Amino acid sequence: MDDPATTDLCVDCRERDASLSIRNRRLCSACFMRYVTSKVLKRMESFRFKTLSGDDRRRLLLPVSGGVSSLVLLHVLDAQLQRQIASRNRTAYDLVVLRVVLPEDEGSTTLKGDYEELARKFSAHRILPLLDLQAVFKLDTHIERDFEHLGLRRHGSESDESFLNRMLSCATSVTARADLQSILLQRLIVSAARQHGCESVVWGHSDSRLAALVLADVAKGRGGSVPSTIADGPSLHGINSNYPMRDLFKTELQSYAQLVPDPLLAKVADSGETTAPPTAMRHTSIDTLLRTYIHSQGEKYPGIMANVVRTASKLDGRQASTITATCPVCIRLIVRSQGLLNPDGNLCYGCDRMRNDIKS
Amino acid sequence: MPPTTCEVCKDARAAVIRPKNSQKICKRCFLEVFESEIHETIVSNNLFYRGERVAIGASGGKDSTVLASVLKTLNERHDYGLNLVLLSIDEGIKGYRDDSLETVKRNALQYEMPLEIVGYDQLYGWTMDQVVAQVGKKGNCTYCGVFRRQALDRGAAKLGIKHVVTGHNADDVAETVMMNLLRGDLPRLARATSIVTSSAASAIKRSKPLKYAYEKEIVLYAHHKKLDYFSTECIYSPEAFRGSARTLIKDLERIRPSSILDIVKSGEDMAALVPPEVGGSVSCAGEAEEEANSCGSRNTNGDSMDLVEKQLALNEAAAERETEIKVPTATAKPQVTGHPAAVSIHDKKSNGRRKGKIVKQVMGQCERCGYMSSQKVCKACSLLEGLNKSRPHTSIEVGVEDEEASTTLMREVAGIAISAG
Ligand SMILES: [Zn+2]
Ligand SMILES: [Zn+2]
Ligand SMILES: [Zn+2]
Ligand SMILES: [Zn+2]
Repeated sequence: MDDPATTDLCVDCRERDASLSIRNRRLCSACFMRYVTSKVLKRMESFRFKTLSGDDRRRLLLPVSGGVSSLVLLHVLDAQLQRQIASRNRTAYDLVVLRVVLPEDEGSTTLKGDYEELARKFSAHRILPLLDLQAVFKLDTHIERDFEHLGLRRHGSESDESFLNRMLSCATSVTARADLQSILLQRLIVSAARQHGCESVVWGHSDSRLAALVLADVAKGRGGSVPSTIADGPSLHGINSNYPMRDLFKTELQSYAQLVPDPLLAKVADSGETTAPPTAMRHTSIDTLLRTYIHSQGEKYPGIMANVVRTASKLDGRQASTITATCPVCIRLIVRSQGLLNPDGNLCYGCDRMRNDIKS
Repeated sequence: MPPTTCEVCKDARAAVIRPKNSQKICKRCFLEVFESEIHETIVSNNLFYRGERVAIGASGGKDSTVLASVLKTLNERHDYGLNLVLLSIDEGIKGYRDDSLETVKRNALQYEMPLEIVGYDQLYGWTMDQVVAQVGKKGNCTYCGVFRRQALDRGAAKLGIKHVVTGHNADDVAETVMMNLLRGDLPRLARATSIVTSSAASAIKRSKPLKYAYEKEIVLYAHHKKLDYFSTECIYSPEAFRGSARTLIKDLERIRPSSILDIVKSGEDMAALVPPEVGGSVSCAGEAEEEANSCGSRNTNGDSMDLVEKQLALNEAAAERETEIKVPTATAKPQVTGHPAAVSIHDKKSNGRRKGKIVKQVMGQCERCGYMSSQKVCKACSLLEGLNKSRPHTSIEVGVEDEEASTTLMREVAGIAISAG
């Protein structure tokens, strides 16, 4: 091999000096940005002009979380739409941006300001006002009926907010609480997409994030839901899901955020697992444990961790023989494979397991 | 703190907290529920038929000892009409098996079961000590793994027995599910979750009646039944993927004790979702692991995860080079390279273009020994050929005949919650 000190040229353009090592290739920052963009846009192929018929206006919902991944996605798609305007004076789709305020965000002094800043910067798109998690009870008309399967019912004239807080406090474990909250969040985002006429939700999940979700599904007895967790395309919600960032590692998105001259991105570039304070195992949720696992193992074995999603993607949720119904809580297929562990009742195993940790 | 009363009989003092549901129960109720759950596993899966001769793979460790004890109890209590035999393998490592074989011999007397000890010398013509003398310490793990995998089946065949039961428990299954997910091997993941594994090509049926039993409960059962077993401290540390999966599962169990069974359930459901075209194949990631070694002595840290990581990085780089040629600009054109990295999710059409990354394996029989094998000559026979030619083996083809290793022997059992008093 050549001495890197003398010949550290970018392997893509072979012109500029390389400044980053990306999957064992030395790239300059310009080529790296192009690499990120092309990985995302390749996954956006189904939303090209070509696939439009007549005067269709396609709308996509992009939920931002305040984290680096969804913001990079917004950044890349915004740039794509700007290029489309410049060349054709119209766009192949419209973006609708949403931010949900979670219970743990309460008291955040920066959230509102950051979102306003985002709204100013991306004003070409439809930026929805901040939405509290309890809005799910207004937007999702089935959720209260569905959650009765978990033994969770609204008390008389209880407000949405106190119903939500009481619901979450019924969880006797950190894992069940996290599980419950992520189901609520998912249902809220999908309902918002429906309300705003979006055909698809484009999620900011990186490959690393999807890998952690796959492992967490498996660890929580939700192995049968893995295809619905990571697959692009139609979902049982009736709204499509797309994961255009699925080929990029979280660390790559952080590098991207550091390189783009944008204060919004710079602010979130360093956010992530590294800043999470260490907590005792029993106060950790399974989801958090697996995010940490993927993050720490990913430093030494990025390829293996990336391969988890690739492997899980081979699972086929359409193997109809073992699928019996849809779980009313998580809205995913229920797999009743052979074995002794199928629960009674109409919940999937994972939701049934979660219910065991809910004491109402 | 006053003693807790048993949640089942509401009478005796609780002595056990069940990991699967946190139930606090007394010793007698625990023994009963443990046995009745295994009975349920046996009955609902139709594991046995009346008059069947069944070999219990007996190592003298806690799993196989508990299995033997429970099967004897249930066979009498429910009149299964089974003809149970203890089958032990002697690898021929001086000193290594002595104590455990003594334990098995005592078990045979205690349970009034015939015992057959089959040595590697009988099965292969070589003891492990002789193999080590021949090939040196470095390469012997390959032999150890391959020979051990086949030994029980070969031993049973020698006795004319068609069914071997092993002590694999829920922890083993959960670990193997995670491990195979990490190394990208869905076929092995699926095999690990099924309670019976047999192949048309193999005359020997294998099953694991303890599949849903927690390792902790197995230890508790052995303890309360005062069973005579040998606790081996394995001299080997686990293979890297297994080690990583094991650490992860221990952490998960600490967060939520039911995780073990939850992962078993996930594995069963995922196995049902493995499409047929993937089910019969073995990925390259799995093969690399075998080539490293399967039991991995402590000092060889050039481990399988490193090998697989390097391979994946090479694949990635190759795919990137293709991308460079095909997609020179930022607005990417649709492209499917031959590499899985670029294969879109659920894109079946691309399966055929993976340039042999996924190799279809057709199971057949070894033409020398008749053992099921994807190759003409099985791994053991090809290793033996090398040995018999008095030269060390260089490269080993990997088939799918290996089952997951029973690792509970090697796993330390820590922090067992007994006594709620
Ligand atoms: Zn460059
Ligand atoms: Zn569910
Ligand atoms: Zn009792
Ligand atoms: Zn053979």
